[in-house]
Amino acid sequence: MSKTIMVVDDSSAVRTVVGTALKGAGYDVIEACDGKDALSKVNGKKIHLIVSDVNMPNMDGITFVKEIKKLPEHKFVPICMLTTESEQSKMAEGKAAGAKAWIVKPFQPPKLLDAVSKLVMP
Amino acid sequence: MDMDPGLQAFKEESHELLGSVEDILLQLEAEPDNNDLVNELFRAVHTIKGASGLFGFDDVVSFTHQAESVMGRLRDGEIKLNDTLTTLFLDSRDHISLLVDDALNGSPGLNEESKAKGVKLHDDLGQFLNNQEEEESQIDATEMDISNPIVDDSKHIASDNWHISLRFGQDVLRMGMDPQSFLRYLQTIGDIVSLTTLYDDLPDAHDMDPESCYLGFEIDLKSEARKEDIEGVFEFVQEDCVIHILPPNSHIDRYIELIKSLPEEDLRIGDILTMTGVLTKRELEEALAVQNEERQQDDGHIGKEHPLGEVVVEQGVVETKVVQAALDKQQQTTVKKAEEKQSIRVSAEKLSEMINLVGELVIASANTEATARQAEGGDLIETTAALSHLVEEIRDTALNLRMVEIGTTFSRFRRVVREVSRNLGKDIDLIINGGDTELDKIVIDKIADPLMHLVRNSLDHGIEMPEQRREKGKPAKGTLKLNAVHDSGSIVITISDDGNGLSKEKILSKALERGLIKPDHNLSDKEINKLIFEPGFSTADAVTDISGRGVGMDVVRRNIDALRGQVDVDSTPGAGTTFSIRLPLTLAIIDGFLTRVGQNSYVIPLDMVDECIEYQTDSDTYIDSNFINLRGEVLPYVRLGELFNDADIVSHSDNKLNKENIIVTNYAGKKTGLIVNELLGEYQTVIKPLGDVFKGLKGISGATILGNGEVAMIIDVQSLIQVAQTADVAVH
Amino acid sequence: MNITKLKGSNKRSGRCLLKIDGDLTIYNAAESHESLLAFVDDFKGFEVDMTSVNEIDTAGIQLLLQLKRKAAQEEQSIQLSGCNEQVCDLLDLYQLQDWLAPTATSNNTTEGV
Repeated sequence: MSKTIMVVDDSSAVRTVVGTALKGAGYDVIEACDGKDALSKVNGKKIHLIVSDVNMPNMDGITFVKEIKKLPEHKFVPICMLTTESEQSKMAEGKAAGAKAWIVKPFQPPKLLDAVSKLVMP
Repeated sequence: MDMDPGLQAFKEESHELLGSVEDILLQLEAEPDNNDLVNELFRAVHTIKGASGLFGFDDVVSFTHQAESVMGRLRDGEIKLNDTLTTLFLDSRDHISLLVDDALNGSPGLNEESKAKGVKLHDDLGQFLNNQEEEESQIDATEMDISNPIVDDSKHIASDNWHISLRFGQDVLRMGMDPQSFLRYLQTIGDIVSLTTLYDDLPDAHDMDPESCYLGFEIDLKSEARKEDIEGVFEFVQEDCVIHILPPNSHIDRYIELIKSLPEEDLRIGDILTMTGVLTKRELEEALAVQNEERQQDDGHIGKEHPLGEVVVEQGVVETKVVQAALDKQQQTTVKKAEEKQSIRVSAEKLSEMINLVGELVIASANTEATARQAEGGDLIETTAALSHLVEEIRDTALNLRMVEIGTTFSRFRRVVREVSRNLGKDIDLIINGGDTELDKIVIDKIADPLMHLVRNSLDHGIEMPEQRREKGKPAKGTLKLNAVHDSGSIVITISDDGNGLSKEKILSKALERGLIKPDHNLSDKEINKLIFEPGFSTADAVTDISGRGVGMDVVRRNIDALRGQVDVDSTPGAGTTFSIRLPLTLAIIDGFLTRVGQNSYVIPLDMVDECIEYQTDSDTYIDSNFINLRGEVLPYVRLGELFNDADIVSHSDNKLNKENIIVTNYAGKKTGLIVNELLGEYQTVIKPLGDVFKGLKGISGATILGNGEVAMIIDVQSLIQVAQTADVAVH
Repeated sequence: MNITKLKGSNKRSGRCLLKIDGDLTIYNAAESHESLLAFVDDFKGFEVDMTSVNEIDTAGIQLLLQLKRKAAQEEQSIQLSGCNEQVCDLLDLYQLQDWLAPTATSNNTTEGV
């Protein structure tokens, strides 16, 4: 059974690149364009990993993490945040909220796949 | 030959890496404590091994692995580089090079001699891996690498597996970080040889929080990965976890430290380590005994404030900091290196093709400009001038692409000097200057052999044995200097030694014996020295292994001649010899001065043109048919037309209707006048080498096609003067 | 998730036969822990039918480790039967294969019956 990864990012380019890379590696992918969209899509699904941007409209990444941690059926899902150097301060906040894995942008798909497979093998 | 692009890349990469291995080793002799160099050395060999593995070159992998392991110990400060080890590494590098070539040629196998040598090298390297006590007894503890402050002269563990101790933080499960993910990832970079799941921390069933993690793992991993890679596996949990990673063959103190620092009882961890085969029982017992002894001593020591455990932990902390600092530094240098080395690889063929085309472009542009001038179109002249200016820039840039620093070629001689001097029992220092002087890659490739010959000649025949030198009141250590410098469109390379100098008597007697000169010839010192470049001349009393390979100085001269260069020798008896080689920077394009003699056009390299003056037999400057007075200086001259038997000109040469000009050329300080009819000005020109048929032709270095399609000869000033002189001698 | 005690469990001999239905993961760890407590208190050795366990993770393994520890204290054993591939895989990774019933190691044979 392949593992499901949810990709949350407001940039469709990022979603496409990340999504394609993950699918290529053998994961199932659910895409969402922001935290709100993501929360509306998690219901009733088994999700093995969430890869989320920090800075997004509607609901930012940190809030999304806090919300996800409130849902009994998803509160233990590993979360990997995509961040830029300038968002370092967000990292502490995010870690406190429960997102332990961080990838600093810009990254190449191999780097992302590497990080992802440390958390969930395909 | 077509080659798989992967293999082609491997070929180039391994060649480059092996080159740098040699450089690094020789540099390390000068700065043995340079950790960056040691790291680089290790990385280079490691990369070769890794790539060889990709192609299944098992012979390369297994031998390289052995060398890499020893270098790894060097990098970890466990052994120290000495003369023996450097020689062993250099020999191993040569053997790897053989193995790589063999593998690239489809693995026909090495010859017996090389095979035997490989086995011996492998064993010799093994000495540094197994026979560690012996090796380490030679190491002065004070000289140890600072990143290993607590390492003393005791034992290393034989296990070649990594040992990883993990104690996961209680929150990891809640954060979705299941330890199994990391362990599974670990399996992708190595083989888990053994794993022990520790649940000693698991509280009583009633007291446990089922969402907390209480587990620890002791893992033996067989992996070629670097420590950073293994650490990287746990990057997302490192903040919450206790992670210890011990490299293969770690020092036993590291294990003691590990045992002490883990929360479980010492014996428990000790048992796991012996059970999984990391430590032998004896090693563990010895280690713990040493520990106890120290403890007793410490207890006896009045005023000792800290129990040993704390001391060890403190030391451990210090160590982590030191290691971290070292790592940071290493990372910085890696980043910097990467920036510096941003370059792309282009095949020499493509480059030649481009330079050829640029050559044609230069001609076409010159033609356009000439046509524009003829048509007298004002705007057109302006645009073509701008165009040719750009073309000129393109030409310079294109040629620059092929310019390479001569330093790499020079540094190759470090190894030669090291080995030759050792073989001969001489002590010789090599001093390199001007390594950053650039010249055309093609010229560099072609000059390497003649240079090698001259260097070996100096080492072998020039510099004396230490005793002889002492007797003469010279320092026992001889010096060989390689120097490169740009000089008016040429590069001048000098090889000078402070040896015995050339023996005039020996040269003369040999020259007489070989019939090169007659007894009544009265030769100047310079002329005598020059005799050594005559074919079949060798003054060495005994033919040695080093330079007496039947190749004489005449071959050196011929090679240099072929590059439009010139070699000179200057020697002071008892004080040393200096060879200087003057070479053009590039063989492809020259700035020329276009002239016309009768119906024919000639191009004279502009670098060599000093000035142009009008020639009149009836003026004050006229001396005779061979010399004129150039502002008080006697200037010899030749008539190009006569020299090339231009019938047209010969018949008109005395005819004053023909206007004549003298072009004063200067080559290596020697001025010579060339008489031509018309001066057509500066002209950039692409040298088209003459075919084999014209190879023997003296005074001409090539041809070029003019804008109007006419062929112009390019004058080789140096050989032209020689030709003129011989012709002169023959006449008189 | 449901943990039930099967017939054949014997308080006197201390042998407990259990059947676990559903997953044994972090998501239901609290609940599973609650159910297991009574058995850990009352019994010494455990035979667990894992036929209906789909998924297990490290949190689940930790719960089984509580059974293992109790058994070890009482010089008894823990045996798992009917493990699916995913469960076996994790036991393999953690080098806990000796829990699997068919390959019970020699020091467990005394309680084999």
